[in-house]
Amino acid sequence: MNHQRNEAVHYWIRAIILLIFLCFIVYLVKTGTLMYYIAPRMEIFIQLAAVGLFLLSVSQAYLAMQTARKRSVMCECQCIPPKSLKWNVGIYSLFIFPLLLGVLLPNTIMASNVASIKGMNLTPVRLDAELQKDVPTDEPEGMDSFDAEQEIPIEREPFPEYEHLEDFAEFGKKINELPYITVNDTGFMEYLTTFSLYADALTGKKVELTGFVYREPDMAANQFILSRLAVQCCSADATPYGIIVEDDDAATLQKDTWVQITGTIGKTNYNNLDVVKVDGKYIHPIDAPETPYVYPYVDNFNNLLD
Amino acid sequence: MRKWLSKSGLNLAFVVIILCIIYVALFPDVISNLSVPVPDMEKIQTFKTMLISIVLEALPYILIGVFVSSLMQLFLSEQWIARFCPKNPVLGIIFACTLGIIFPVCECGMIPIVRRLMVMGMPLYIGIVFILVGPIVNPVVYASTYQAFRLQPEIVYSRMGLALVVGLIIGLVVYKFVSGNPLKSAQTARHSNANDASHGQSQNKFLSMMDHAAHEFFDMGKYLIIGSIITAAIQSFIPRELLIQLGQGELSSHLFMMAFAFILSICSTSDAFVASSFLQTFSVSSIISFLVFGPMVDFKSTLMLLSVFNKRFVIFLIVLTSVTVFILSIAFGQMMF
Repeated sequence: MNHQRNEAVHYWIRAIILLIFLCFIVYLVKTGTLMYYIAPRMEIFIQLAAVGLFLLSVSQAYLAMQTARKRSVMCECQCIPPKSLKWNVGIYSLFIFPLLLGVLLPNTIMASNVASIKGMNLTPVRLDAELQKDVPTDEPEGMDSFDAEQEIPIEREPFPEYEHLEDFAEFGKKINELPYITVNDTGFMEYLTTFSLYADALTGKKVELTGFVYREPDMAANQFILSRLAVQCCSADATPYGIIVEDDDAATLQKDTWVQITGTIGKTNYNNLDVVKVDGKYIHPIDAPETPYVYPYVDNFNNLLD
Repeated sequence: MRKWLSKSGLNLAFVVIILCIIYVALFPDVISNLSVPVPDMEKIQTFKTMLISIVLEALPYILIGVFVSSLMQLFLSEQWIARFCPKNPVLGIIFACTLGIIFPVCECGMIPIVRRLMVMGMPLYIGIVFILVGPIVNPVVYASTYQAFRLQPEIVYSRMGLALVVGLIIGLVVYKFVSGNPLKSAQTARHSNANDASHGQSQNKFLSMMDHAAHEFFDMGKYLIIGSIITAAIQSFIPRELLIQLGQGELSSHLFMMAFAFILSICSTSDAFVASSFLQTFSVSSIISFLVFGPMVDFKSTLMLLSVFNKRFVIFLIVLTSVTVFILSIAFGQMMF
């Protein structure tokens, strides 16, 4: 009898823990905060997991009632670990712990704190010096004999194609033709990569970007980094990407303020690295966007401009 | 009568608890009104976000793992396993590597499946190779690695190739030198023996499958959660820069990247993305050691391995894997880059 009773308690506790997990997921989905933890493309798996949890929870509750009512319906095998009470309390509270944290602390958007722990990336793709040498300059070889005296300025290809990055060259040319480049959340990293690959060619272009304010300790007073966290699967792999913004009023902006900036692309030197920057023109604080994180874009880049 | 009362009293108590939970789930405001807004707790907040995201990300995989494992227990026979596993060790290892291509789950889902297969008689070395190579050599991981290293596709091929070589070596070592059964619990073994006798006549095949799945969920889950808590703490309290300073220099960068992969315990489907942000600070070959070692052995999976194998064997396996990956990735780096 006692044993059966114990078994029923175990089943009940498990049913409840599974149910809390399930409810937590439903709560995150309903409030739209699941994306604070998991990338949207993973959400379907989480929803399937919720179905699995539901089935498990219901079956455990059913077994609990069966066990309490009559003899054990299950096989003789020990599905319930015959451990001490303390051990069991410990194990089950382990499962409760993340849920408790999840419910008691508010869901927040990761920003500067995570960026400073993980380290900011200002150059999404860094070309090796070797790779840059390989770039074919359009220097026609037989030119001298043809008309040597006529000085034709040899024009360097402004958007050279780097190996494996051909898409970016084409994308660079396309955005260069736009009067005004609006960087959306979709493709944020791809835009940033293009800017940093073709900073020279794009210098002077007008851009509009959205992100949060992040500062490194050694930055000048008129500088900050406009940053976004890029997430692949879950928040644990969030990687901060950003672009330096220079503006006279930069100092007035608090870190973690979400801002929309308009400005022109330029180049600056930061920590002995040539990096792309934006000279701010209008900066205005906004509410945090509904999708605070950005995700790597896998489709055809041309769709970004539609 | 008293017995009946105490029994139904017990059920009633739990039904009330469940109703409360459902009520809170339907009206979550009750709790958010209760919880005090905490300002100066950025780090705790980060920890919370990391922990929940790691647990949530692993949840679908571990559920797939326990469901597949319970299905296999009910519907696969030991003879079937014996027939399918090749006798020749090299063929067996190749068999194990291809299993990973068919079962594209990461290590959280892999371990319950392998445990079940091994209880049912799959040879140890095949199971080990599957656990080590499976999370790397599969289409999902290939795609995400390719995407993270657009510029250096050679890293993608090196990762896959090196993982296969490491799997081959470790598989052969385990085949040759490990005798005896390092499987931990007699409990799981009893499960499988009781299998045919009691489940065969039971009409409740579904219920018993669910029971096993729930049992395994809690059994694996406790290790997963301990691992996630430690991983989340490392990810939210220790700045990367601090760690990176430790790991400069040719040999030490390999050691560092492997240790780093171990403590980060990121799922193999997304680790390439994190690794790619180290291209500027670390050599290509040390990044490859990160990409190969991480999915094979990390904090989370070590704890989960401990639920399957005895301590001695887990330590042996970790040391063997570390040494093999370390030597091979350095040799590979010398040759290629």
